[in-house]
Amino acid sequence: MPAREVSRIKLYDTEIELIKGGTGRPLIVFHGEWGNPGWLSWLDGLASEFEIHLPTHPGFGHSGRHRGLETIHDLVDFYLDFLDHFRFERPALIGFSLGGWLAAELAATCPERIGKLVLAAAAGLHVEGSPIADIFLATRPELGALSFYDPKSVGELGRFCPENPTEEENIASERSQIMAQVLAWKPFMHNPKLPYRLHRIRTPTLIVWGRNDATIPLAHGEAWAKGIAGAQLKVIDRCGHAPHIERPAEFSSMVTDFLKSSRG
Amino acid sequence: MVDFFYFTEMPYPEAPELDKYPAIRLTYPNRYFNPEVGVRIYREYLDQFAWAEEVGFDGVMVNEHHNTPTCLDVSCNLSASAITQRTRKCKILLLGNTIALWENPVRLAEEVAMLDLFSNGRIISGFVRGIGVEHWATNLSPVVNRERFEESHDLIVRTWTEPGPFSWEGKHFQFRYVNPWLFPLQKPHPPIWVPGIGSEETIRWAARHGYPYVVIYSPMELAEQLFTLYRETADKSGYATQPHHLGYTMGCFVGDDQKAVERSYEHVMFRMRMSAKGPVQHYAPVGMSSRSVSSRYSGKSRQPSIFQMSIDELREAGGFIVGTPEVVTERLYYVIKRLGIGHLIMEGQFSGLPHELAMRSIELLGTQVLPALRKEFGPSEASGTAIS
Repeated sequence: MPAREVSRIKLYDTEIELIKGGTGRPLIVFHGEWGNPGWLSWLDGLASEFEIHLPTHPGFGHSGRHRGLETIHDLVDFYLDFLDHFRFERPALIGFSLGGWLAAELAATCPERIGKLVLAAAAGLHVEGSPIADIFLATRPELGALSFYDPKSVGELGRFCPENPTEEENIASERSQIMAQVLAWKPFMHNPKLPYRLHRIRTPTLIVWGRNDATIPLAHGEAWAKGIAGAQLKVIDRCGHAPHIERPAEFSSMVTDFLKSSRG
Repeated sequence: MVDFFYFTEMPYPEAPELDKYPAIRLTYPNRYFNPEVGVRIYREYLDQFAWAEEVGFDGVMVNEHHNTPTCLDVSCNLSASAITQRTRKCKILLLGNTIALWENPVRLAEEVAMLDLFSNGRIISGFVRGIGVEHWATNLSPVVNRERFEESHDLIVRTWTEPGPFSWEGKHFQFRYVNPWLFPLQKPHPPIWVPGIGSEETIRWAARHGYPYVVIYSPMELAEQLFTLYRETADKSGYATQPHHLGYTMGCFVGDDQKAVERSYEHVMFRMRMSAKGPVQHYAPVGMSSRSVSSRYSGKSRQPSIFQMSIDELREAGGFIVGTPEVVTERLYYVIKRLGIGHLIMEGQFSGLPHELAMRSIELLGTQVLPALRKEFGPSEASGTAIS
């Protein structure tokens, strides 16, 4: 298991939690609406070539948040500060679900600063006829079914939703859901103006989707691939909304191949 | 001194095939609605409100919910408006407007002012946070409910009391010209009441403002805890809690004899068992209240829910009372004494209870139960000050 450190960094008025591991070129991972699951096995194979940064977004988990942080655009501004702070040289950026939306917005804001982009089961678009499931209304068992093709086969399920959470874990996950609701209640999980900004993403982009994603249907993956010039879409069979957790080996090698390829 | 209110949510009389669906609210399909039934039951419900005044209630109460057969009152201002034209002297309690969910608090201030003028000063303007499911019905994040509730309240009160024009540049609401032509009749403004089912912040907020706090459908044991919290906060705010600061809402049905009483059972049980059918998020969504409140709903409940109780258990616990006039009088006497309340709100029509039974129940309450209770507790304040 590669060495990693957990730290807190303060950028202006916001102090967030940051997990760091691996050595090499910079890679930033944006977690989704349920908060930062920490270091998962799919990252192991990347740690020898990348210095991987796993920030917990403001307001999520144990990260702070000032009152002005209320929209995805506010988070984009925060991550512009984040990029400035670390002086990253065109880092790779991977985002999951709501984090994928955030990654796409950031890449559209400053395309020259992002080396490569991976959007996994990304929220952010509205696709007529393929609504995003109402995750904020779902019960715990329903969430399992919405998130995975086969919850029982998921090895790291406990990291995603611990069976007997501590009070501290409960508070952190409730904070995450509250922040996700602040960001994405209405319009629900998308930005109606984003399609008009997608042309700005000139970063080489990989779109990864679980074929059986019941939270954000595959039609969204196709819409991203169509909207971002040159983007390639890879679909994983027998896989739901969290390919990095449900199919870690497949997902990891897909991402590794893309990040190591000469494009970009 | 206690005053008595009659209340109905104006339920649709049936919820066909409810067993096929996970919830009675939000997504239960509206294809089961028949507008002709709507025409009939709205008329019946208005008759019941008018009858309640006639037989001796001090006031009537209206509320609102959305996307549910349990409540056809989708605008308490609209139903109150009709009631102002069907009654002459009773108080009309709106409990109330979900001010966090309104986009335009100034318009709301105008509407309630209009109602106060329509009714010659009989409006009690309740402000409610709403139950969780309304956030889906109106697509507003529950996370901002409290902030919007408080800001909307501040703006409405200022609109009622401060000469315009003035501007409001708040976090959630912005108006460059607040200057509605009409004011309420009552000065400084119609009384403001606040209902609750346990949110501690709401109780403290109501107590800090000195607003009457009405416990909705909770066992007496929980109501006592909530009232204690109110009293503590009131003490800190520099005043002593009086009965008129505390209200209690419960279901109530009176029949002439045991046979009539038993005819209500199936409707009572539907009200208690089915009208709350749905996931916990419909009632306590993440982010609407503090963690201390939300954890009460997540399995570690300190109190048994009255929505699981039998008729006998309900009578003991205090959520619902069904019986002959003698039984109901005795029990309501106990409830009022034990809780020290000044307002008792009785929901008397539920889930398809036949109209004639509801009317008879209202009559028995007004002509037998309330007079007996008034003998003990004195004439009510509301009836004494009503302007006709």
